Amino acid sequence: MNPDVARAIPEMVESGLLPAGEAERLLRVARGELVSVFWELRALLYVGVLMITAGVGLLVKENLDRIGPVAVAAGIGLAAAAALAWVARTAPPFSWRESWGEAPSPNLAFDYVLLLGVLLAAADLAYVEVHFTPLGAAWPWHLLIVSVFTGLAAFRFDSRVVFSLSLSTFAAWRGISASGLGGDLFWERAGDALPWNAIACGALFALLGFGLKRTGRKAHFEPMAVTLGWLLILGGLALKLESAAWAAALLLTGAGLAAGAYRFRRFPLFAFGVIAAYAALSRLAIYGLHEDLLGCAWFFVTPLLMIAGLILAQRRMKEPL
Amino acid sequence: MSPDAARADRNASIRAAARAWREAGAIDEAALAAVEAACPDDRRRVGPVFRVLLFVFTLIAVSGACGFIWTLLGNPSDAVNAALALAGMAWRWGYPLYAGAAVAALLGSFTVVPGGRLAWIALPLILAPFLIRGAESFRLPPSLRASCAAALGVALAGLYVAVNVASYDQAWLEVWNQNRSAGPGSEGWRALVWTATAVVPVACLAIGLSTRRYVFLIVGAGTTVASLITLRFYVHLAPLWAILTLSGALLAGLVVVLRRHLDSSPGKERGGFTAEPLFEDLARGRMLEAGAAVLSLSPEARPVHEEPRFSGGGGSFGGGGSSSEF
Repeated sequence: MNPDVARAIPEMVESGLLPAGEAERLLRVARGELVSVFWELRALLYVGVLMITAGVGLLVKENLDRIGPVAVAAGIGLAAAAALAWVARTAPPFSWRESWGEAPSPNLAFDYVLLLGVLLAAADLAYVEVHFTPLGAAWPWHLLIVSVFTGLAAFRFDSRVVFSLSLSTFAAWRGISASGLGGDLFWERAGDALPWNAIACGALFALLGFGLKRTGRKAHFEPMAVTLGWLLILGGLALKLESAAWAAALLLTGAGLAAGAYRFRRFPLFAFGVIAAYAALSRLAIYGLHEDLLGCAWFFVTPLLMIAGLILAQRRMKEPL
Repeated sequence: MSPDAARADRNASIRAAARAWREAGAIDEAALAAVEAACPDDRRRVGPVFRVLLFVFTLIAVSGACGFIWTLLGNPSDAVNAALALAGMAWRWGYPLYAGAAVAALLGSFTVVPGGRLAWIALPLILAPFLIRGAESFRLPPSLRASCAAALGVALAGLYVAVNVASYDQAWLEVWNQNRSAGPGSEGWRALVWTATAVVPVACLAIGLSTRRYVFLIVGAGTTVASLITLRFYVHLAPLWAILTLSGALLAGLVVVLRRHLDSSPGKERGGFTAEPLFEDLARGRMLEAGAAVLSLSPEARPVHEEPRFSGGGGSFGGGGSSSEF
């Protein structure tokens, strides 16, 4: 509800700014008399899909001996096929452009049945690999297969969620948990391969995003690919933050990203760049300060300088950052 | 907030609403231009990304200041200082993030004193009527109303944490209180918190549904899930896989039925609720969905420090999502 808007609407109608026919609905929304639960319903469906896939995983794990591997594989496969068949029947014809435009999907369940089907199919493939070992020593390649499969499904059915899964599964194939980079940053000692894998993966995703946008094919997937790509690049550099050289590289990369993002008005990337550069700078400074008091002073004074700098940067822009 | 800033804030909220109407096709470009001319906004507005950045650096600065004071003076009241600083900033600039963090810090300050749990219960109950009124008051500019709503959400969540039976049994709020009494409390108290664990979510949902207040709806939905998880923790009605699968299927089914129920009515609305988007930014919502999928569904990474090799139980159940190992 917004009392200011509610008070302004009748005045706008009187002065002819707003057509009277539209005003009634707008007024009800502003008064809080009409509330949309569009995103809440989608969030609940998402939670439902998560619970079903987690439940299926536990069912198989706990009852494997009683059910038998063939029955498990067949059961999950059938469920996945049923979900994907429904999606294939409901989906509009393929297009390189955004299928739904800015409108919501015609069927609320579409995105989530697709997600369920993809997750079950991926789980089935992993299960088959574990128990029947068709790939033998090359078992990690099942993650690549899943990534390609989910990527194709994302492009065919125009799903950002499934596309993001495809990217994160590809990253997992290269040894990077996309959801665990924050934890890795602070709690784990990374080996030599992991940071380079993360950086290469991130660069690949960023290039993919660039290509999608440049060719105009599924250009709306670009923000996801570029954002995840830069997160992986910065996360990869941060994995070796204990080294001054890597911290300096993170500082330069973060500052460069922030400058580029500022220029092209890519605000989330600007935030990533600023935070990464600040983290790297703090790392370099803190290792030189051996007094707790100086450390506290650093984290009191420098954020205030950053805030002042951000406000100055924002004032130079014509639109909100 | 100064009168000029408050006026600009009110105008900004009207301009933002008009832009949303334009994007939804409710008004034309000429009407939007006329609204923007009639409601001038002379301030340089700060967008959501910038707000988050400012909030992050403010939190670091406040933590640094508290650490500085603590190191210098040995003053233990860090959380109170932080709460006061954040509340002052929320009042001055009207940032909801600061308001929510101020209430969280204030509640946090009670975890080190005896009877802190009672404060966690009493404070939200005392604050809630004022915050509800503030969140809807025309006397406050929009950003302060949003700050009241954020503070209300955090206060209600705090109330639930205080009355949750698992939190009571495991003394979550007494962990840092060195004078706390050992062992569980009386049976009477325990019965009371069991009742509250069930009643608070239902009450929040009921208030949210009857008054169409988002804060109560969201807190009600979240605490309902938390209470069901608590129930599963204490009462083993069925194996976990069955609970998860059936609950997930029931939830999905319920959503589909609810959507059809709302869509089947005249104007696609019932009781003031609609399942249609109303002047919302769908593209941003979809990006958030995709981000949530990365965080919650990413498969476990394979180890890279060793060469891929076959092992009988190797791999993990998942890829593209679930990752429970067999």
